[in-house]
Amino acid sequence: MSAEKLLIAKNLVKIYKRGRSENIRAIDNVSLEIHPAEMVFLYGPSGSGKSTLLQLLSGMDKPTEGTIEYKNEDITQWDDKQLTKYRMTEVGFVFQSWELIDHLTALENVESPLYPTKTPSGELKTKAIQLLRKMELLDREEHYPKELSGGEQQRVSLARALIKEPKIIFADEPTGNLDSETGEMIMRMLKIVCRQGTAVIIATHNETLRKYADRTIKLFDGKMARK
Amino acid sequence: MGFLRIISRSSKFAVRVKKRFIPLLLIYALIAGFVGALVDNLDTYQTSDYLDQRGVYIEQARDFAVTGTQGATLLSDLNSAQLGFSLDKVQVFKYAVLDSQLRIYSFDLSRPWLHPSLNPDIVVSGSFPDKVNEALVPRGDIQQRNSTTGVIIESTIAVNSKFTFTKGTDAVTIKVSGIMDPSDYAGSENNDLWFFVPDETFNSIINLYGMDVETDTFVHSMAIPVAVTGSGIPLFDIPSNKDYTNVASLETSIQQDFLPNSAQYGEFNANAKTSGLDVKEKNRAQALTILMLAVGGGAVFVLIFGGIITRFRKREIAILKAMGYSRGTIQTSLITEIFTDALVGFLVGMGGIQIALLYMSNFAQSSQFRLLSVLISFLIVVLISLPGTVLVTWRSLGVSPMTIFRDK
Repeated sequence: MSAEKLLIAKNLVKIYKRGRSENIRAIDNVSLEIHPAEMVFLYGPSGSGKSTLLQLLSGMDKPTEGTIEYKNEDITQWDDKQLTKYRMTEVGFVFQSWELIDHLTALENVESPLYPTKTPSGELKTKAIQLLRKMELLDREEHYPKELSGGEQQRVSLARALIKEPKIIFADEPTGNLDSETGEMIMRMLKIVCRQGTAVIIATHNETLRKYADRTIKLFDGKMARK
Repeated sequence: MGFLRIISRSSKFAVRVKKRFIPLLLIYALIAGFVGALVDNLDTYQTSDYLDQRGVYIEQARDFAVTGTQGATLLSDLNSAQLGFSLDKVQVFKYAVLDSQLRIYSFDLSRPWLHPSLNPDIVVSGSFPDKVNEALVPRGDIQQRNSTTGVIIESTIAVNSKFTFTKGTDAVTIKVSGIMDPSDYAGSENNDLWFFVPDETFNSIINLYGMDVETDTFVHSMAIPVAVTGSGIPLFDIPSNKDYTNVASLETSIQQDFLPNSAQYGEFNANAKTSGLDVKEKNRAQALTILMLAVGGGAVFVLIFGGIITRFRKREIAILKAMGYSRGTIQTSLITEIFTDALVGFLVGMGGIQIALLYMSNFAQSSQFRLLSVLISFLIVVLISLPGTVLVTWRSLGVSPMTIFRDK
């Protein structure tokens, strides 16, 4: 594990309002550090705050209290434009339900994060095809999501996250909708990505995947139970 | 690079999602067709009633009542008269009797609608002449003769028939480009051959027959329009109240100063013809009201449908935001998609209405949309679609990427 710290979260608290007066502490005083090329698992049962923590770390939501340092800057103080840039250039996301865009082919889904960038179209296509080849999906590049199996969709989703060459990949229950064999395949691919220098943070409740983790963080009722 | 790629990809993806594209296309086609037909109708109205709106028309009292020379004198005196306002191009319409059953009538090719008998709506088949050697004939005219042999051939004149006037080695050939409704032209009778030809062809035939353009021809009528200081755009070039006052003054002046001098100018009908301005104004107001309702109704329809569609795309917007698309980029993408739908819908709608109108009118040129009408209609459809889309999408862009997690 590298000594360099990529992301430092300190005393994160996230409170949601339910109704007029009830406050839910979804994340309660969580602190953690993420290092480059590290695979960290966030374990916990449903409602433990795993997804909320991923949202905060990936810049999709802001904490009620606490700080998240990335490259010596507190991203909780950033405005929407800075957070958008952070999501565009620094992090990638893999969702449990893949969240591919239905009317784009596999190739277009992979290319799509870089459409707004200055990457030349030829280079973009080459990168996307290389990633699809790595994911063993080259023969499926012109297929739409509904024509792909769950495992194939998840691999497209992973390729889409990787095309930006992010520093950190957040994966929320990436194997949750897959059979165990396909789930293992996805985890092996994430491990390869991690070895190539990208930090991977995975929220899951599946303890059988623990063998892939460099480090595990257990959450319960929004609190860190054990490192 | 990125911006252009978003636009090109979005326009490509717009037509791909059929369940979204087809309803939007139909909505825009209906709006475009409706707006296009209304705009074109307004433009036609403005053009075909050009003279009624802004001038006076006088007509010979009976056949041969005004000679070409008298008409030329009246034209000259009108142009030099101190009226207190300017006249637009004064147009003299002549006719010549080539033999007992053959007449030719002149009109100005550049402004044919100034002729009291001619307007885009009277063409029942074929097209209005737009070239020098083309002619319009009243429906029912019968081809009587071959000019070189004198052989009589009786058959109704058809569009694209060719006639050659010859003298020695000189010849003038004209082609019938269209057939007009004779009800607008009371003088037309069967078994006579009457051609409406552009001034240039009229003069060529007169010269071929060895006649003099002034002394051997007669004046059918004259159009004397008042110059209107407007935008120059037909749809918006509406004569002002001052213009209408000038038209009334012109009519008075013609009745008092010119028509009584029949020895000098020939015998014109005692009353100059002007329009019932009140009726025209009312018609115009009605047409504009309908157009505004179409635009307003279309805008509301687009807003509602756009709102529904964008709501159904919350998940997609959330995914794009999670990937790092900015609000502006997503909006550019959505607007491009809507604009593509609007453009295709516009083409389909205008094309559909155009084909229907042409089919119903037996492909008469008068049923063709004018380019200006098409452009104005397109602007209206764009004005309906884009601000509505900006409004609808801007609200929808407030959706958080966390929507994906919540839905899960």
